[in-house]
Amino acid sequence: MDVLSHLGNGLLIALTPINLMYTFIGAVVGTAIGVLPGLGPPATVALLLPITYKINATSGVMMLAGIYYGAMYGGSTTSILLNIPGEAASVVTCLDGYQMARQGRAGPALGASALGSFFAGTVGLFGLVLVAPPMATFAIKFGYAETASLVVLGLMMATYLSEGSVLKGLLMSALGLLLGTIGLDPVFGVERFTFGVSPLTDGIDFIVAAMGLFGITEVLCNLESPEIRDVFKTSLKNLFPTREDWRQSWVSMIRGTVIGFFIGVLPGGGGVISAFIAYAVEKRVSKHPERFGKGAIEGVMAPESANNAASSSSFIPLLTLGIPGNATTAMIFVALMIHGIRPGPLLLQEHPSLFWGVIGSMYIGNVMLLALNLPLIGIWVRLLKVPYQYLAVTVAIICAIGAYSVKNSVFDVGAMVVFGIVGYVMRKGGFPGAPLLLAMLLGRMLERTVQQALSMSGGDPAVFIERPISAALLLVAAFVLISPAVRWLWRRRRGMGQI
Amino acid sequence: MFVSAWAIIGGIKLHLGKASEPQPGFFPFWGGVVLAGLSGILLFQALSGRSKGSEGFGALWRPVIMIIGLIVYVAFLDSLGYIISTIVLAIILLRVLGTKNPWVLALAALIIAMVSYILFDRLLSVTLPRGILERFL
Repeated sequence: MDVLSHLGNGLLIALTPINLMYTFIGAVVGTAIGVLPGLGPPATVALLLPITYKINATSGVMMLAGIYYGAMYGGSTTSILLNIPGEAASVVTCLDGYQMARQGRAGPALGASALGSFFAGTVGLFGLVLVAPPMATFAIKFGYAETASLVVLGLMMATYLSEGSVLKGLLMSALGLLLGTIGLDPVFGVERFTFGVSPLTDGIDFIVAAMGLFGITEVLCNLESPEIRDVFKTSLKNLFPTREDWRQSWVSMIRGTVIGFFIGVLPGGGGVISAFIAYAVEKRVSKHPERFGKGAIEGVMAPESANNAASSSSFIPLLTLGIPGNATTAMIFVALMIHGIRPGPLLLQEHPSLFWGVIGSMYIGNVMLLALNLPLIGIWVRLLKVPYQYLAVTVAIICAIGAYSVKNSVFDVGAMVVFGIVGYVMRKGGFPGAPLLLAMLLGRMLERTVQQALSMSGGDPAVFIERPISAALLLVAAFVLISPAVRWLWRRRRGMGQI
Repeated sequence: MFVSAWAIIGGIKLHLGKASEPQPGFFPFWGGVVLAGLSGILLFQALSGRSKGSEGFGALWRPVIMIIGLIVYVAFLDSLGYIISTIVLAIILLRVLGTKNPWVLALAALIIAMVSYILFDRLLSVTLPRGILERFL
């Protein structure tokens, strides 16, 4: 009952006109960037961070969260109509969504995607409401040692679940940790790696790095290839799936939701991985796996449900443990910190109106998105006709403003350009940007908590393994770290056995 | 490898301390060691042709022009001010990236610069550089 009354209060907060407006802006911007290929949620949240400086924290987070889950809704549109994913979490939707469109069933594909997203987003929020309060209560018991171990686990998971090679992800995490050490030491106040450049004394700002790595890099990558945006000409009538479609896909929707929810809770496990796993599971359990890739509605329903459920559940580690699991929630973490609010177990006690208000706004945002995505689909498709050069120049300029606004310094704009170039080269080499960014943010937290834990224990490093929760977290982190090597050895041994 | 060497040397200079009493150089030093180890493995993989996941560059001229444009923009942002630098950057980039009609070009650049200026500077109080227009703004 307590949870329901809190949720009721949260909905009342979210229904105030100003909060409704920011939720709506978030949902609209999120859908737009989801539709437009080449501008993902982390870049957009980074671009709109300066706006949140001037509004209250609750409204700001409502808007940023709306961008995140709105992008998950919008991302499927281009996957289905163009065979180009609007954002990474919708890559797998291309496989069957585009085939459905080619068969003249674009309407049911878009409808299934929107309805699956709505169902998963709403159920994911119920999960968030049920899991977050007990998890926050549990996490209050965490001392410095547990927090440090949790950060290590978060970093390991984020690296392990990042796109591409685990080794490259680890390398990026290590680089991020080092970049995070630039500036004043958090305990001794000694300058590190500043080379006498005074703007570096405060360290490299996370927002500046994010704007470069996600905003500018994205623009540079998209400018490489000439535009191919030939919207598949098909009827967009009959957006509701048929009875037969529902019969085939309702279980996929539930399975996708459950998979997405659990993967979203893991650090590093956002919409992309959950969508891929949900699709793979659907194909494996299907009695007719040969239908997949040829326009199976389950192949649209499951990943779209999964990525939305994951976007809801990824708020659990952020709001209850204070550990952002992916680049987008890391940006929301920074937005809260700018307002002097520390995400973590005490958030629920110290700022209940923010916590429940944001959850309330997510329910309302999901309803808004259903209305935005089904009847207005034609408008979003028209957005694809805007020539990319206008978008590229606008994004680059907004990134520059965003970087400048952090400290009113041109140095930060230059640093952002450098991060953009580095991110571009990294992307070409298959090095993921998200672990670097998360490590930059979490590395500072790790160093501080390690120092504090050692100071509390009288300099005894055994504190990290003597405390049971800390030891368990480190054990899981070690398992995550060695699991790719174990898997490689196992495969090798099995391969040799077969010979 | 270069970055890890820089971190290791820098860490030693900053004083390492010991595991029970880490000093400012401890964290960068061990970060550098881990980075060096990982770089070594990756280098070995690349040399033995086992590194995967890289993708080739496409048509490079557009990204290169964007990068040059942004570097020049940063160089002149403070002295020329936000509005003029942004209009010039937008005109150059849009022209190079494919907009041919001079009227469309000028109008688009003006709209991008003015709308972003009004939104961020006037409405959201982000103080953007005034530059040579300081007296008029």
